[in-house]
Amino acid sequence: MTDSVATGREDLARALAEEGDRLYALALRVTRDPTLAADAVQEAFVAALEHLDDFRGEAKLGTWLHRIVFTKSIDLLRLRGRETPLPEGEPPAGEDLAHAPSWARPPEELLLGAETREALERALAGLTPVQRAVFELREVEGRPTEETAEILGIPPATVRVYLHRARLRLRALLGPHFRRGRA
Amino acid sequence: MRCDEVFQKLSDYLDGALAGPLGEELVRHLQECVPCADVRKDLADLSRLSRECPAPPLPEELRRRLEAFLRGR
Repeated sequence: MTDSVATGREDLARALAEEGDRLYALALRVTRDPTLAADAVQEAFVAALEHLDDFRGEAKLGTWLHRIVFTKSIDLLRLRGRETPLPEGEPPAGEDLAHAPSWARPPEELLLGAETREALERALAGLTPVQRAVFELREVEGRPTEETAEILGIPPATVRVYLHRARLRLRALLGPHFRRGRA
Repeated sequence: MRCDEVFQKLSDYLDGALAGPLGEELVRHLQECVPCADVRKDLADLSRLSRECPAPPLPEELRRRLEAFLRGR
């Protein structure tokens, strides 16, 4: 094994230790399938090791790995035909996100319950895979817009648009859950 | 600023990306408009909820398999 290959393996092992959970989270959010998500992460590390020469350090290694995991997740979704892609454009006809009823102040216990976690997972199914990726990277992990754009290969302005749409749609989809818990 | 304009700019406002006079105008609107203030509150709750419901961690078996792969075994 040459020194550069050994160093590459060490760098990837460190990235696995530091970023493994977040890489899996991205794959899981995009695919919504633990088996596909595990495959995406595994294939991403195999590809990363194969193509380490292409990584020239312009991006952080973690960002580069996230980009590969995202690409693999989308590829696997398409290959297995698990999800009919929703259009990334305007919301479906007849959907009025602006006038979705308010959550009416969800009580704290409702915010933290297992039922709410399940409601969020169900609502995420109503987003496109790319919107889910934006939501995971920006809203859950708090990554900057520019880094999210780099990972997903889309312009920063598009990240902002997708995040806005994702938030509004989730608010509408979660409305019935939170209104049910109204005090 | 009209409600529909506020609605389109709420995400940028929540992300701190709406500074200057436009941001001040939006804040004034939120102070006076209950429906828009409700949307802002819901989106803030959604942010909090999302951070409190992260995806599960990388499965241990997969982590061990990848560690072995990266060690060259």
